[in-house]
Amino acid sequence: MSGTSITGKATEETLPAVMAGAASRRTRKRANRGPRVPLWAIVVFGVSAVYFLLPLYATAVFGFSTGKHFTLQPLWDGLADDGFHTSLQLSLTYSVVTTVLALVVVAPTAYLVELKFQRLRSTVEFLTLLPFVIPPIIMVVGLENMYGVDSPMNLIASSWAPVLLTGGYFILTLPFTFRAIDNALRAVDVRTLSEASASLGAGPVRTFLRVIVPSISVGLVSAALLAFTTAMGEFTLAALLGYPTFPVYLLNVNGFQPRMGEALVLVSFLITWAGVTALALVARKTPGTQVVRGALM
Amino acid sequence: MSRLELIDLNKRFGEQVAVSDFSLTIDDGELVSFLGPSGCGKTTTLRMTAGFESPDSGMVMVDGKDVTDMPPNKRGMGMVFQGYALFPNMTAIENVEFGLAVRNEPVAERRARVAELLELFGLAHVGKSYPHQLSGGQQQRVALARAVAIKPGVLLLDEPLSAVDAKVREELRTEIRRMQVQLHITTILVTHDQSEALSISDRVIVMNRGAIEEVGTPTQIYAEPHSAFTARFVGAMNEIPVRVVSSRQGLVQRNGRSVTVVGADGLADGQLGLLLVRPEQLEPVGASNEALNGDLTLTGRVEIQTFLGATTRLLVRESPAAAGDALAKRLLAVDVPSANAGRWPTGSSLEVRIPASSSRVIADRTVDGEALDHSGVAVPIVPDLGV
Amino acid sequence: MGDIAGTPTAVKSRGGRAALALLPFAVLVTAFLLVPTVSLVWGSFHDYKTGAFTLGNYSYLTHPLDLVPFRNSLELSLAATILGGMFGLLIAQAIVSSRNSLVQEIATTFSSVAANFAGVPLAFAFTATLGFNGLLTAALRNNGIDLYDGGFKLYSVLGLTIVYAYWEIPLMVLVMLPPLQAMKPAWREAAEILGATRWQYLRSVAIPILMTPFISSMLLLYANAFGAYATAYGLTTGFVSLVPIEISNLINGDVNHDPGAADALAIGLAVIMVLCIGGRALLERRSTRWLSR
Repeated sequence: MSGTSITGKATEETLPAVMAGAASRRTRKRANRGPRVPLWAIVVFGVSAVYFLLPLYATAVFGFSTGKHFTLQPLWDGLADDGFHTSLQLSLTYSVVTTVLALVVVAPTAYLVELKFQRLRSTVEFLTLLPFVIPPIIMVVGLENMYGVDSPMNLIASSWAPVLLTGGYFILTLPFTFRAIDNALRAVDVRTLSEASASLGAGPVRTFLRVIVPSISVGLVSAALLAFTTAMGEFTLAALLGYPTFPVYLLNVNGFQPRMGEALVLVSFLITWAGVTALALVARKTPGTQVVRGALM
Repeated sequence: MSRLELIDLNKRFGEQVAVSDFSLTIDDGELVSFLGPSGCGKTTTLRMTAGFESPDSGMVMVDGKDVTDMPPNKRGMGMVFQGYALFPNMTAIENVEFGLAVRNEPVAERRARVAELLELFGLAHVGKSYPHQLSGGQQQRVALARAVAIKPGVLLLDEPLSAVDAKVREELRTEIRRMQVQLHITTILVTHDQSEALSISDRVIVMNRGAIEEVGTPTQIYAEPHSAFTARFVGAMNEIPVRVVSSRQGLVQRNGRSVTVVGADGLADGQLGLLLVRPEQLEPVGASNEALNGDLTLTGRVEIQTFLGATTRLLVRESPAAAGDALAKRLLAVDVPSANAGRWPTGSSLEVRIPASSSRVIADRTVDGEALDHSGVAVPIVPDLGV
Repeated sequence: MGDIAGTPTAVKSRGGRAALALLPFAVLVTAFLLVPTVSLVWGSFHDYKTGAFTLGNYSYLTHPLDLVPFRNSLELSLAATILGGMFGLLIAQAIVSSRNSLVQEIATTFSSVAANFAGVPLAFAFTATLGFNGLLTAALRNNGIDLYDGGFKLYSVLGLTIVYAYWEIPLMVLVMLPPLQAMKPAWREAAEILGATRWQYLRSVAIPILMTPFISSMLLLYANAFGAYATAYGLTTGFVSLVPIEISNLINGDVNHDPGAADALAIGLAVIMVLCIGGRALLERRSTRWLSR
C-alpha cells in the first residue's frame, strides 16, 4: 500500500487530482432528501381534490341559495323542519342503541373467547366476518323473509319493530366492532391481567369492568365510533324495512324540496366527516385498528 | 479492480452536516472499512460513492474518470445493502442473474457465470429457492454473488453483516475477505462493528461526526491510536488518572512513581490527565516474576471476573495507595490468560503495572467525554530508569 | 398451581356462567344472521305462492346475461372497479412518494372520509353537480358544451360509474397503501446499481410484487360495487336496472312481488361476493410472504 496519511487529507499522490478537482469543484443542487413532494404527486393531489371537492361545493351552491344569491335560509328551514327532527332523532336513537348493544355484547364475548374459549375463536371470527361478505341488500331479504310483513313472525307491524332494525344494525357493524375490540384485546396480555386480578381476589365481572375495560378503552372507542357512524348513515335496511330514519328522510326531502335537501346533505356529510376524523384520531394511537368500512354501500 | 478516489466530499441535510471534507484514495484491490458510531457519516459517504446521494461539493473518481454526475446504474459498481435487498419475487439464480440480464448478456453465458458464482459461495443447492426460504447467511451470500456477478470495479458493502446471527457473522466476514482477495475487487465496507473492521481490512478509516478521525492499518488503529476518540472507540481502554510532571519530557506521575508517555505536550505541567492503557497491557505483578524496575503500579481488589474465552477480564477496583490519593477508586480492566485467572478470584487483591509500551495521555475532560486533540506522533514509551 | 380460583365445583360453575355470558352474542347472531340466511336459501328453492319446492327461481342462471339487471351490474361494477382501481393506485403511490408526513396524513384521512361518504347523500351531491341543472353541467353549457344534448344522463350506467368512483377510489387508496409502503427503497436501489433503468425495475421487480395485492384490491372494489344499493337507489330511484335494485323491487314492489325470486337473486349476488372476497383471502396469503420481509 502506498504511503497513507494519518488524517486522510490530501497527500502527494492525490494532489494532482485535488488540483484538478479544485478547478472543477462545484456545488450541486440538493438531491432526493428533505420533505419534498414530487411534482407529479402534487398534480395528482390537485386533480383529485377537484373531483372530490366539487360535488361538495355544488351541494353548497344549491343548498345555500335561493337560485339567485347566497343565503343560509334553506339550511335554517331544514334544521327547523319537523321531518328532519323526527328522522334525525330516530337515527340517533338507533345509532346510540346499536353502539351500546355492540359494546355490551361484543366486548365480553371477545374477552371470553380470548381468555377461555380459544377453540371457539375460528367459529366466532367466521361469524363476525360473514356480514362483511353480505351486503345490506342481501341481509334485508333474509330479514324480510323471517320477520317481514308476510312472514309468520311479523315484527314490523308489532311493537317489537325497533328490535328488528337494531338487530340488523348490530350484525351489520359486527365485523368492525369485533375487529376493533379484538385487536385491542390482543395487544394487551389479557390472560396475565385476568390471572393477576383473580389472584388478588377479584371476581370475573369485577376483573372485566375494572381491569380489562380500561386497558382496551381505545378499542372500545373505535368500535363505538364505527358502529355509530355506520348506523347513522345506513340507508338500505331502514328504507326497505320501512323505518323513517335520517337517510330515508334525506331521500324523500330531496325529491320535494331540493334546496333544503341539499343543505341537509351537507349536514349529513359533516356528521360523517366528524365521525371518521374522530375515528382516525383514536385509531392513530393504536396501529392496526385502521378498519376500512368496505361493503356498506 | 479499480482505483477509487473520493475528493473533498461534503454533504449537508438541511442544517445537519452529514459529511465534511472527506478525501480518500483507495487502491486497486484494497479493502477499506469505514468505521464509526451511527450518525458519523459513513453510510452517507458510501451512498455518495454509489451515486444514491449527490455530494454538495467534491468528486468521485474511478480509475481517473469523474463519475460524480453519473447515475448509479452507469457507474459499474456493486453494492450489498444492509437488509440484503434481494428481489423477493425471484429465485436465488434469478437474483444473481439480474445484473447480467439487464445487460442483455446471452443466456448461456449468464447461466454459466451464475452457476460458477453459486458454486463459489456454496449456494449451488439453493439456486431455485426464493429469498424467504433462505436463512440470513444464505441471503447474504446471494446478495454478494449478485453484486459481483457483473464484475464491478468497486464493491460497496453497507453493514452487510448487521442482520446476521453472531456466529454466522464471523464465518461470513472471512468469506467476504477471501472472495474479495480472490477476485481482487476494490472494496469499501461500512460497519459499526470494530472487530469486523479490524479483522478483514487492509486499512481502517475511523469516522466521527461526518469527518475522518483517523486512517491506518488495523494494527495501527488498535495499538497506536492517534486520537482519543479512536482510542476509546476501538477496543476496551483503561483511563488512568495521572498528573503531568513535565509535559516537555513526556512524564507523568502517580503514587510517587512516574512513567514516560506520549501526547503530554498538549498538557500543562501539574495538570490532570488520563493515561490510556489497553487491558492486555496491564500486567499483574507476580505473574512473570520480573523485578519491578520502579515501574508505575496500581493496587486494587478484583470485583468481577468476565470470561471472554482465551482471556478473562478482571474488573479491579483501585485502592488508594496512600491517604489522600484522590485519584484512585476507578475500575480497571485487566486481561489475563483464562488458565491463570484462578489466581485472582473475586475479592482478592491485585497489583498491576504498566510495562513499557506506547501509552497515550490525554487531558481529563470528563464533561465532554472525549478530548479534542489530534496531536502527537507515535513514539514508544520508555520507563523511567533515571536514564 | 394452587387453588386460587376456588374449589373445582366453583371453577366449573364459573365455566358455565362464562358460557352464559356468550349467550347474548349467540342469540343475536342466530336471530339476525343465521336464521335469515337459512330462510334465504330455503325461500329460494320454494315457490312463494304455492310453497312447493322449485328450481324456477334460479332460471336466471341459465342465461344470466339475458337479464338486464345482471348485465348492467356486471358492466357498472367493472367500470367502477377499473376507474377506482387506476386512480386509486395513482393517488396511493402519490401519497407514498410524498415524503412529507403532513401531506400523507391529510390525504389518508380524507380518503377515509370519502370512502365512507356514500349512499343517498353522495347521490344528491352529484345531482347538484352533474344533474340536468347541476353546477358543472350548467358551467359547461355556458361554454358551449351541452352534456345532455350529447346524450349524457346522470341516471345511467356511465353516471353511476362516475358516482361510484367517489368511494371506490379512496377505498383503493386505503387498501393499496400498506403494500406500497412495504416496497423497500433498497430494492429499487439494488436494481439501479445493477444497471437497471427505471422501467426495467418496474417490469422485473415492482409490478410482479404488486400484482397480487393489486388484483386482490380490485376484487374488493368489484364486490363493493356489485352489492351497492343505497347509492344506486338514491341516484336513480330504480330507473337503472341493477341486481340490488331488482332484488328490492321483488320484495317491496307491488307489481313483481316475489320473495322467492328475490331470495334466488340474493343468493346469486352472495355467490359473487363470496367468490370475490374468497379470492381476495387466498391472494392475501401469498402476497404477505413477499412484502413482510
